[in-house]
Order: sequence, then structure tokens, then C-alpha cells
Amino acid sequence: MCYYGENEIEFESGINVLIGDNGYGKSKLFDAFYWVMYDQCYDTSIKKFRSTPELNESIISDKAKNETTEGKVETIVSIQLYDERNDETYTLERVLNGNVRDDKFLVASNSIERATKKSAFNVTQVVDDPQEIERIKKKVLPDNIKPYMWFQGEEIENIIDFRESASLTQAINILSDISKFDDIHSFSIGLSSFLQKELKKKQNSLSKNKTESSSLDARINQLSGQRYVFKEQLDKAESNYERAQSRIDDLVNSMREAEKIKDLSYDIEGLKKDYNRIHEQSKSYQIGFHKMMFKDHWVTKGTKYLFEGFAKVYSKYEDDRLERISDLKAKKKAESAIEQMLQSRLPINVPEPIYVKKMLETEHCLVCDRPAKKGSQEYESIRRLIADEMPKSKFGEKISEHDFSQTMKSLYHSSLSIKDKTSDIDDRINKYLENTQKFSDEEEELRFEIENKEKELNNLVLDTSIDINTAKDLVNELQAQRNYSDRFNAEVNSLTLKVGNLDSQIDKLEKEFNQLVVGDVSKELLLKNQIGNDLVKITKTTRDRVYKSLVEQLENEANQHYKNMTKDNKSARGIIKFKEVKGNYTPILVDDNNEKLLQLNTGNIILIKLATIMAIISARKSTNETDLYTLISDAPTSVFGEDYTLGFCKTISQVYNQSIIMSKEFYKNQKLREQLLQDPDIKLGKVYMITPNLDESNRTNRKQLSTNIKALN
Amino acid sequence: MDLLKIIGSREPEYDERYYDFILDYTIEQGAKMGTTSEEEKWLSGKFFSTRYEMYMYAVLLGLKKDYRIPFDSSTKKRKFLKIEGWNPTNLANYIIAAIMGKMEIDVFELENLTEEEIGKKITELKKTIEEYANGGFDLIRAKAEEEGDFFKQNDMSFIELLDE
Repeated sequence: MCYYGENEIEFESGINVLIGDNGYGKSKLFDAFYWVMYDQCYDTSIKKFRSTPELNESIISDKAKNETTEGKVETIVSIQLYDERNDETYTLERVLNGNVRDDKFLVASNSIERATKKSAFNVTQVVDDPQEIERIKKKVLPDNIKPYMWFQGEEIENIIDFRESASLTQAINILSDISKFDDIHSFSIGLSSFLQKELKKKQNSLSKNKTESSSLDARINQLSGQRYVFKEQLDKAESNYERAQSRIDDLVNSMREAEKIKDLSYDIEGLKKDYNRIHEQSKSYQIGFHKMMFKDHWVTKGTKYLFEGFAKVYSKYEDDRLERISDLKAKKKAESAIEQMLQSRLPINVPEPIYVKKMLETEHCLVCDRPAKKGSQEYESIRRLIADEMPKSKFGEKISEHDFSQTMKSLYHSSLSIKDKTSDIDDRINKYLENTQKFSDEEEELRFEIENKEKELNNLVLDTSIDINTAKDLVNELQAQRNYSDRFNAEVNSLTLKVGNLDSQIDKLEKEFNQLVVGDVSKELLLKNQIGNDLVKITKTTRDRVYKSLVEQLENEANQHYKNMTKDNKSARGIIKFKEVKGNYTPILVDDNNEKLLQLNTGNIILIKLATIMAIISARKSTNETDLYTLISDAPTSVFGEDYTLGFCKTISQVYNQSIIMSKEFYKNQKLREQLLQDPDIKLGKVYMITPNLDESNRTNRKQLSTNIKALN
Repeated sequence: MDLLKIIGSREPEYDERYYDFILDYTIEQGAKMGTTSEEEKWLSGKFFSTRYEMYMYAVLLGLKKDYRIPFDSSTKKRKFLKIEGWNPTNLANYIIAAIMGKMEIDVFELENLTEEEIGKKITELKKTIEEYANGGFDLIRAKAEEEGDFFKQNDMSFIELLDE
């Protein structure tokens, strides 16, 4: 883990505090204790303890692994404990071996446990026997009190479960003598039953009708058996009824808040839908911004003059073409004139070409019957009568060799459409930006509104301890609890009737049985029986009285601790009350009029629980038994405000002979740290500051990570 | 003969040193062509979807600033997408028209040249496009060197650069 090299931390009596920010390695020190004792570490990601084979090489420092190119890498955690009463020192140690070979890191599948014991005469003895090691561990921390002495801040919620009324009773039973009274009461019941049987036997022997007496006795036993079963069921039904009623009370009280929670959560759902819609629009606008650079030709901004250059080229081209066309037209016109001139004499192909050719061959005009010698004007005139011999322009009717007019037209139209739009690009960009901003503003507004509503909702949920789903289902749950209540009430009535009937029947049969008895049962026997019955009553009332006074004492102690812890916080309120439900007690907070306070936040609930746990320990102070054990808790103060931290430390230091707590509250708040170190009311042990060797930005580089421990007092 | 078709068949080139530079502002396409959404482009802080978009921008920037840099013979060049593949088409036409304007091409004269002579003239046009693009890239590079964050913190940066 994050500890590298050799680190030694010494603790003294009083409260010992390990200070460090989140991720600095405080919890790893809690793990170190836990690992030595139970071969497990707490995995915060799954909120469970995991064993060495599961944790494997994560137990070993990455820095150590990184620095070892070949050979052994060892993780050892050693706890040394001094037993003041017997002047003995125990050392418990756990080792996990790893090995680097050929660039591979191998780790042993299991850890090794070691222990030594140093007697008052300074003789150190290695403890080999695993059972003896277990005995030493039980001395360090017995299993039954472990949950109340070693715990993670996150676990406090579960140590005393408010929804389970037997939870506090269980804690009281473990940490008090009350079970002895229960044992005495059970013994008295057994004794009384034995004496009753003895009396019955005697009465039977004195019966004037032994068969009838035996039959009556058997019937009484049978009915008593039935009564026992029904009574058990009745007790259970009554307990269920009480619980349902109590839940109904809570639900009815919470109904108004639940309605508000439900409305708020629906509001938030609606707002979130709006937000998502706007967010998508806003996103698509922002995404589209880049697209628009090309789609809406923003990249042509300010390039209007480029079009003018092309327009000149195009215009010149058009002019050249027109000029050429006009030249061609003129030429054509001239040729047409010649043609017309020829046609004024004779039309083309008149006479037919065959006669014309004959005339050219004979050099004689057959039309006017005159000679037409080759080379003469007459001869040339005859030759022109053949259409094929007409003069032509160089390229015929073509304007030019290649025709690019379509290309130029297309380039012109494309460019013109872009050029026409360049002048208002700024307006279009601004409009786009305005829209983007509009969506962005709407998005921000909605986000703000959601945040506020969520804050309001969270506060309400914390204050009322009603979660959102419960709030939505509250009406249903209330109805369900009412149904349970009705059902349990009906069961109670029916079972009460049954038990009552059986009581009358048994009573009647007892009378019949007694009437059959002739002669006197010895006074001694009757007296013994009477004493047996009285003993049952006495042990029951004594047990109840002791239990009640124990609960009262606990209540007083818990309130004292609660008051001490909340002294610096003016908003803290209420009195802890252990409410009895069918012989079990559950802690609640009441006001001055003994009315149950609802809307408790998590901090309140944790404080009540901590006060209750401390009360259980402090109530046992007189026995000195709890002085033997050290409270070790990781981040117990993290769920309540800093206002409570010093009060908590003060109380802890008074209740526990030795405690070790890990806290981040003293890290950032220097004033609070100074108060801790100087407050005379705090019985202070050692205080250490834990810091990593790397700064925040390099912390992920675990290959270089080690942890510094500095004593502050 | 279709003049636009001939121009469109040409593949303008650019200085190889801008190959990676273009990628700073453009989504890599190639094998992944078409797989990059507009959203990804935006989220990754890129301005252009394709190399040719940035090339078109560079030509327009060079033209706007009337800044062209001829290549010397030692410059290593990379071939580039045929002009007919540039989109939007009307913007590609706008660029061709602008270049023709800058070159003051005598189109009528061109019409009366032989195919070989026309080919030479189109090569000249392609070269002019390349030189303006080269000028545009140089302006972007200079701006990025001068103000390291100019293109990083501002969606409007490439538009603003046209105005400077």
C-alpha cells in the first residue's frame, strides 16, 4: 500500500489522532490494525472487508516492488500492546512475502502470523501455538465488543440500526450484566415448574379418583402447551402491531414533507427533460458553428473583390466572343452577297451540275451558246455554278476551336451567388452566435434552477430521512402499514381471546382437579410451590427494574455525551430517549415535551448513535473492563460538521482510556488543529500528521509513493 | 472539351511540412473516413472535417491577403485530393474563378489553343492555387507560433484571421 520503509507510531492513553487529507493513507493505518488481527482490510469501493488472498499484492508497497529488481519484498505490520494490569507486553505481527524473479513479481497466497509475549520479568517468549495467539487476540479485543470499539465511520449507521428495535437491546446485553438477570429468571421458571410438577404428583396421589385426576392433569398440560404457543404468537403479533403503529405515526408525520419531496422530484424530472432538450439544441448549434464556415461560406468573408477579377476575365471573354461572332456574321453577310449576286443570274444547280461539268469540259456555254475558254471570266462564272466550290471561313461556322462558354457560365453563376452573400456574412455569424448564446443562456438558467431544486430536495431528504422513492410511494406504504396494523390488531384480538379462553379452561380444570384431592397436601410442599411462583415474579420484576435502571443510566449517559458533543453547535437540539417497544428499546430524539422529533439529518442520527455507543461503554466504566480496550475508528467525524469535531474528541477522550481516530477535519482547518492540541479538556495522546511524499499531480505515480508520518506533539 | 473537368482532374500539392500541422486542426480521415461525427470534431477542438477543407481555407486566406509563396525546387510536396472532390462544389468553383481572375487568364485565347497548350495553362492555374495555399498555411503557422493559444481558445479564430 502507500507505506514504504520502516514506520513506527507510538500511541499513549487518551485520544490519539492521525491527521491527513483524503487519500493520504489514514484508512490504511486502520487497515493495518485490522489486518494484523483479522487478516482483512476494508475495501471502501465495495464497503466490505476483504481477506489477504483477495487483496493479494495490493498490500505490498508499489514503490518497494518497483525498486526491487531481484529478491524479496516484505510487508510486516507489528502491533505492540502493553497490559498494565499484568505488566506484560504482547507483540502481534503479520507478514506477507513477495518475490521479484526474472522481472516478475510473485506474492505468497497467505500471510504469516507471529506473536511474542514479554513477561514482567523481561523474558520474551515466542508464541507458536495458534490457539494461544487467538487467546492473546481475544485479550486485545473480544469479539462481542469489537463492533463498538473498532469501526469505520461508514459503519456507524449499521452498528445500531434504528429500524431494528432489538439492536440496542443486543448492545445492552453484550455490554452489561443484564444477561445474568435473564439467567436467574430462567432458572426460577424452571424451578417453579419443577415444584409445580412435584405438587401435582402429590395431589394426584391424594385423589379420590386417580384416573379422573390423571386425565384432568393431562388435559391441563395439553391446554397449557396450547396456551404457551398462542401466547408466543400473541407477543409476536403485539410487537408487530406496535411496530406498524409506530411506522404509521412516522409516515403520517412525514406526509407533508413527503408530498413536497415528491413534487420537487417531479419538478426536477421535468426541468431535466427541458434541460436535455435545450442542451442538445445548444450542442448542435455549437457543433454546427464549424460546419457553417463552409456550409454558409463564412470562409469567403471579405473576398468580394476576388469576384471582380474573375468578372473582368469573364467580361473580356464575352467581349472577345461577341467580336468573333460579329466578324463571322460580317463574313457570312459578304458571302451571302456574292451568292445573291450569282443567284441573280442563275440559281445554284441550274442548269444541273452534269450540264455545267459538260460546259467546263467543252469550254463552251450551252446557255448562251458562247465560247468560255479556261481561265476566262466566263469559264470562272460557269465553275461557280457548282455549289461545292463555294468559299468557306477558316473554321467553318465555329466561333473558336474549343467552347468553354458553359464552364465560364457555370463558374460565373457559382461565384456570383457566393459573392452576393459575402456582404452580410458578419450579420449571419452574429445571428448564429446570438442563437448559440440564447440556447446557452437558457441551458444555464435551467441548470441553475435544477441545482437549486436539487439542493432544496437534498436538504429535505436529509432532514426528514425520507428518500425520494419512499416519498413517491408514501401513500401506498401508509396504506400497506395500515393494512398490517389492522391485520396484526385482528391477530392480537383473536389470540387474546384464545389465550383468555384457555386460561378459563385451565382455571376450571385446575378447580376440578383440586376438588378431587382428599386429605391434606403438606404445608411445606404448598409453601415451596408458593415460593417458586413468587421467585418467578421477583426475578422478572427485578430483571425489569435493573434493565429499566440500566436503560435510564444509559439514557443519561448518552444525553451527557450528546450534549458534550453538540455543545459548540447552537442548532443542535433534542434529548435522546430510549423508547420501549415490547421489551426492546430504540433510541429516538424528543423535544422538551417528550414529542418525537422528526426530520433528523444524517449527522444527527450518527451523533445519537455515537452517543449511545459511548454510553454503553461509559456506563461500564466502574468495572474498568472497557479500559482494557482501545477504540480505533477511521473517519468517525466525517459525517457531521466541523462544529462537532472538538466536542466529539473531548467526549471520546473522557469515555475511552485509549482511543485512536483518523481524521481529515484537522488537516485543512488549522485553527481546529491548534484547538485540539491546546484544549485542556481533551485528554490528548499523540497527534500525527500523515502526508504523501508526492504532490497531488504526481500522486497517481504509485511507483514512487511513500508516506511521511510527523508527530505534532 | 470540358474545362472544369480538366481543372477538376488536377491534384494540387502542398509542402510536406504542413502534413502534421493540418492535423492539429483537422480530424484524421483516411481509413476512418466518415466515422467522425460533427460532435466529435467539435469536442476534440478541431475546426475542419477534412484536409481539403483546411486547404480550401488556406487558398482563400492566401487570396484574401494576396499572399502567395512559390515552392522552391527542393520543397518536398505531397499530392492532394483532386479538385473535383472538394465540397461544397460552388465554393470550389469560387476559388477556381478567383484564381482565374488573379491570373487574368484570356479564356478566349485559351479556347483557340491546342489541347497540349491548354493543359499547360491548367497546370499553371493549379500551381497558382498551390502557391496561394502555401501562403495561407504560412499565415496560419505564423499566427499559431506568435500566439500559441489563438486557435485553442476561440471558436471564431479562423474567421477572425481572415479579418486581420
